[in-house]
Amino acid sequence: MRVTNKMLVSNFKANLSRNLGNLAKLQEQIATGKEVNKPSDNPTLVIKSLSLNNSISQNDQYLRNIEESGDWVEITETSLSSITDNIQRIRELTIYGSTGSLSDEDRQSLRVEVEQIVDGIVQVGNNNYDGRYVFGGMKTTEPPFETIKDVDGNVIDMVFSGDNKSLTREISPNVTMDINISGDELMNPSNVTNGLGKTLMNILDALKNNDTNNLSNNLLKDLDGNIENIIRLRAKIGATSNRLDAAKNKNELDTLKMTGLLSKTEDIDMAEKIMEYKVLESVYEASLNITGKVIQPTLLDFLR
Amino acid sequence: MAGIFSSMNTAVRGMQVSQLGVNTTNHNITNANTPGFSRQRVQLETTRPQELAGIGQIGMGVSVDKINRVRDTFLDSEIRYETSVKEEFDTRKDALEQVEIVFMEPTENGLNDVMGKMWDSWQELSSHPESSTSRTIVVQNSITFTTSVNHMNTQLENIKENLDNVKDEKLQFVESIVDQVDSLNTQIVSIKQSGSEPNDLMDKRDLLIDELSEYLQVKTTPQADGTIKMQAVLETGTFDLDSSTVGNLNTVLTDLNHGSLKGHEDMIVEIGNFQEKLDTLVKEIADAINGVHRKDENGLDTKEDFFKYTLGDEGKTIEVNPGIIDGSIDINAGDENLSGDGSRALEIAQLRNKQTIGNITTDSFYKDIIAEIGIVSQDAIRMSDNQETLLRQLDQRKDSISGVSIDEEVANLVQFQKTYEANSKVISTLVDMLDTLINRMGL
Repeated sequence: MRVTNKMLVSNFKANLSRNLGNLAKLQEQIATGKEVNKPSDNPTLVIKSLSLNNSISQNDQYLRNIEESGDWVEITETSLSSITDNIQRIRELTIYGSTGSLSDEDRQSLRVEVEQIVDGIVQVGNNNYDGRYVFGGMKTTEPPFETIKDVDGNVIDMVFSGDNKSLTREISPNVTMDINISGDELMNPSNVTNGLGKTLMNILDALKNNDTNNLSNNLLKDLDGNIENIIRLRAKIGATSNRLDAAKNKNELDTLKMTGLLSKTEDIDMAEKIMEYKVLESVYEASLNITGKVIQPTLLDFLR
Repeated sequence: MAGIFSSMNTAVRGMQVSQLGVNTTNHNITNANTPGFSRQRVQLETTRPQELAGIGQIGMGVSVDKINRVRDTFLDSEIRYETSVKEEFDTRKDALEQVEIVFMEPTENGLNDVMGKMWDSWQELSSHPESSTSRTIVVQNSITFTTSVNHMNTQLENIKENLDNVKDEKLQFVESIVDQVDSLNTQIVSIKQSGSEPNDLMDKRDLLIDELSEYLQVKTTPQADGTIKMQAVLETGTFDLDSSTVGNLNTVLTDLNHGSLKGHEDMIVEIGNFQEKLDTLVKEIADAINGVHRKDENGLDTKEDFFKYTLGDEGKTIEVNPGIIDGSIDINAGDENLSGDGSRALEIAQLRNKQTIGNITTDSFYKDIIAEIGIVSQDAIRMSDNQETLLRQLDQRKDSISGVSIDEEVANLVQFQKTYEANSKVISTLVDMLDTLINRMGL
């Protein structure tokens, strides 16, 4: 085949430009650390990378939800535990107060102690997480429990002003959880007619009126019913806490797996790329070398 | 005597032919790098012999039949076709590269990330409905979403406008080329009629037609009188190209078969499609969020829209409800009388994983758009690269046939020079013979 100088030159130009193009692509990959830098580099990889990024960032948000919910639930648990202790103490005092041999004055001191414990219960009932009241239902910005006192400072009522709505949190795609216990469940239990507030006020009245009969019979029964109710609530919140722990573990494991997969999808193997680069570089240098040698001499150099 | 003088003529003719040969070689060498130049060769043949009775025919020397150019016209048309294909895909490649830059995936500034942050901020609000910070963040992230989409739409519009402007410029080039070819045709016809080969003019004409092939696929039909009739190849037939018809070329632009003009037309349409897909995505997100945001605690539509847009122009016009931005309207995260109610915000956050566009999620729909852009762009790049390789091979073949080889021309030069020397030697010999005949014979 007849070969002209122009052919040689255009050949070399094309090959050099291709080598340089390959070098540039490798450089971009090494500089960004990523195998793909735009959709046309590898459409399937890019879509996979977008999907994984979506899942990972969604997972991070769910983790935040789970951890916050966990804290909320923990405060609820410790509060219920403390309320239980207080009610146990009131139970002892009720039994003691129902003994016939107790003098009326001694019974009034019992009353004062019970009043103080009621104050304590209300305080715990107004526990908050980050400024929001955990027992208030959806009314999270006002303290839900309150003791009403008369002019002499005696407790005459314990009221709950929150609501009974559930606070729902999403912990994974399309999976939601109710994370709160409303004070309403303490005040209006399903297993006994008189809730916590009513029962405690009745006990205070009975102590004031030295009504030992009530104290030893129905009031004790009411109190036991309320204790049972709280135990049930504690079991419920315990289960919620366990579910949150499990969700957190799964979430962290998922994020770990997806991050690994994302790295495999879009990150380059630095060592491999740098070796490729070195090889291409030497190829480029060699072709430059040869080009210089071959395209120079013509017949004219050899005629006299 | 007649014999010697006619021999002299033969020798002189020989020298003239050698001079012509050197001239042609000179022409070739100086034009070795001229684009579109095909090397010229002197076609030699013997002159009419003299008839001598009894002896037979006596050769009378050499004459130049013609000087023609070495060119393979079939290769020419092959190259022109492949050029028009390459230019079509080059145009697509360039435009799609710009479109990829508009979408900026898979970086952190792409719409995928922006939408993710927007949905996340609704999640955050659903767990902190009491917090005004959470509300501010929802507004901010939503504004980032709408302004990103607005911006992307504008950029796509700009690319389209650019393509349109360049297309108009190219149409003007086409008109000018067609006019030039027409005038060359006229000149070539008149020169051919006088019996010569207008090689350089034909080279020029071929170069112009090569350039025309970049813009559209050209079919050339050489006519008997030496003109070339040009037609633009359409998907459904042909369109005559000459000075009178070229002004109407813009009526058949959508019908063209290959060439950069077709590339422009196609890309303008395809980018319009991407804009429409973006519009759909934006409209569905806005409608879904608005649908929930408008509802009050009783499920009735009494509250305000969160996003506002103009139908048909969603990507360009979408914005967060100005009332929400300036604070005169509250974000509907839940019952406004219950500070801890984030149920509406939760419902909105959950829209992300619901199938709101047909039977896929908005995230999937967006990914499909990116996939399409990636595949179409990759395709254009691959075709463009393939065509470049193919064209280079064809160009090599053309060069092999029509290109000037300096070595070859120098060898020819030496050859012609030696012939010239030899012919002049013959003349010297003849002069000596004449001298002997005239001056030394007789008295």
